[in-house]
Amino acid sequence: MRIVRQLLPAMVLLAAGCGDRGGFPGQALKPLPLLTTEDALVSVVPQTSRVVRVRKGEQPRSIPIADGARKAARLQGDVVAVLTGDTRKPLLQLVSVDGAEVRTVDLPGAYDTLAFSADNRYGVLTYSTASLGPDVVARNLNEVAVVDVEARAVTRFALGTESLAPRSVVFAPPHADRQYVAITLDRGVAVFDAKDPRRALRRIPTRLSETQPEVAVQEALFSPAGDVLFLRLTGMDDVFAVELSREGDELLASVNFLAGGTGLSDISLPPEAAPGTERSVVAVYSGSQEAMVLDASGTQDVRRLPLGAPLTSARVLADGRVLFYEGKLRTVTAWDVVTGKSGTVLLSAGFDAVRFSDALGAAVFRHPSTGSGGAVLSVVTVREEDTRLRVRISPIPVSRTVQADVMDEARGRFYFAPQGLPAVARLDVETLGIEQITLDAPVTALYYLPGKDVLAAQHADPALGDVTLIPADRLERGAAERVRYFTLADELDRASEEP
Amino acid sequence: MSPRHLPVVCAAVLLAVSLSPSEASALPPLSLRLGYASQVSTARAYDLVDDNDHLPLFRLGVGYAFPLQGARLEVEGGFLSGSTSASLFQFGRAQLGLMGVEVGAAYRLRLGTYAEPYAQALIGYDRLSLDIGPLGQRVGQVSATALLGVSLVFPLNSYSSKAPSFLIDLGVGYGFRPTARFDALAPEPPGEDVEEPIPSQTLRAGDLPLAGLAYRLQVGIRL
Repeated sequence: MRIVRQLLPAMVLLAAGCGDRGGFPGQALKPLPLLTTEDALVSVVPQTSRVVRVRKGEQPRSIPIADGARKAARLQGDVVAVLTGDTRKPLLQLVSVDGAEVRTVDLPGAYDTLAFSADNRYGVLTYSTASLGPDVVARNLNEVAVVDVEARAVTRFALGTESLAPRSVVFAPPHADRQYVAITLDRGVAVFDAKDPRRALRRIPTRLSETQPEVAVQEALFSPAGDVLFLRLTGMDDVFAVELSREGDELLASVNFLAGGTGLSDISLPPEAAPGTERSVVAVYSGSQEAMVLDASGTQDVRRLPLGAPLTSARVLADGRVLFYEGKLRTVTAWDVVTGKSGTVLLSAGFDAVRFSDALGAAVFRHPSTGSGGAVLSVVTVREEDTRLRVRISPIPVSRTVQADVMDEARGRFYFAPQGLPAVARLDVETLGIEQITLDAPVTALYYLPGKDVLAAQHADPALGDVTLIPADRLERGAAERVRYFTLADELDRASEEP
Repeated sequence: MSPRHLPVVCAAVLLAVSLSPSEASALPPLSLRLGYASQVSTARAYDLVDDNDHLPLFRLGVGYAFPLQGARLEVEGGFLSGSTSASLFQFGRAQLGLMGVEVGAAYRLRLGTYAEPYAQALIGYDRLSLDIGPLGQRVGQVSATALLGVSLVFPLNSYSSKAPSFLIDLGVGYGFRPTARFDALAPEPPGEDVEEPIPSQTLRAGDLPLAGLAYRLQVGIRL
């Protein structure tokens, strides 16, 4: 029996002493919001330190990134930018999801937000107040970083404004000689040239006179040439137009106040088809109930349209017309800036969302549920007649409140999913034809992937990943494909990579 | 079995032969064993399916012993079944299952009144399953196990060496289980009455290392 006494302790130790999981994989999975490229969904999963690509007809593929992913944005092509690392070693990683390549740029700080120019050449990283906490007690939120993606160079500088933190970053269209960037703040705006950010920085106060306080910037737009910055400010009726130019190293800014009506509520760039409006802005006034095309130089000869209702929003469509609307009101007005023709129509009810098809010059208004539990979609199309624009409404009843929707803007197809139903419907905005497909689970969000004309329906399990990919022109169950638990792709291999 | 481990096993068998007493051959030939067997994998990836690196298994074995000069050569067939699971990112469980058969031979000798040290080598076939939520995959692969152990033999009738005996069997060794590749996890096919679901894309989970320490604790009877 002596041998038993010797062996037994060893067996007990063996059974109990083989280590534990060390917290792996015990933490809750919280992927960042899904991103889309032209033909794939992209999920950034901080807990597994992976970027997962989901594409129809292929197994989900994961790409390792650094720990601590906290913000991601899609750039041009197949590139996704991810802020990773921690306060000791913050990183910006540019992930090519098709090539599975990761380019890493060391950052001088653990920034919270990222924005990139339209050509992906420059990125601007900023802090937000949300990042303050036990790890970060205090921080100068005026510090920003400009990333030159090609050169992998990072320039860190302070805006030096009186504002607490940036509100938004707006890039001008890329230009061979310059890349203007505007950072809007709760007091003023800072503009710089990303090609030379330290020297070409200009802080522009947003106040009418020295005795008045500065006001917050609500909206900022660059003109198509990028040399004029239009601002809509809190509580101010005038559009704040900043003309920008370079003189040597210095960035010059000249400010014009563009007066129009009262109650400025929205600004947008005028249609490209409208002649002489390259340096103009469409302004919507809910107080005086009118819309105007204001020139940056302050020319008094403005195009003006009485709206007849306190509309607050404008959308310029690709066909050159502008739609004006407001969520609680039922009035929708169309305006052709070139011909001056206009037309108005009254929706059957207020709406909570609107999608546009620029290619077809149409819009789909989504009304909340009606008394019977159903909902209605209103398709608004605009036709030109001899003396006016004819705005037409086509109501489409839906059995339940619309939970998710997405528009294929190029083809004019509106896809939507009723709440709680495992179904997706396609509404052809031009013909008003409707087709539907029944899926295996209710849909919580819809994404459109134009590169492969695929519709992605996300189901109620965003943490582990659950989507159905459907050919958008063939709504058939046999052609669809469900991809589940894709956030765990290559999970076993990931564990093997860890020390 | 890895070739570099073969000399160790051979040395153990030779040692057992040199020490074997002659009366061992007089014992009954048929043995039935059942009990607990475990495969240990300390690879990090294994933490996905188990909290402390074990794959607990139920084992049932039947052996028949051939008398040799001063020892016994026992041929044994076994059936293994077991599973383990662990919480997966607080959203569900990942479960690894194993069902397998194995055959092998053990060289046994008698040491004193009750102890019977042995060296055993087995080869087998494992049917492994990995289930993550509704997705799963089954893979099959060959395995090998080498054990050194001791059986405690308690004759039920102490006046006859050929009477049935009660066995307690302890063995420790190494399980040469290849890394299992789970590269196409998919949902189970639906039943006949269920509507055909939308086709699912398979999920590649990766490779699961399984080789490692193996040990057994069995009870049995020798007839």
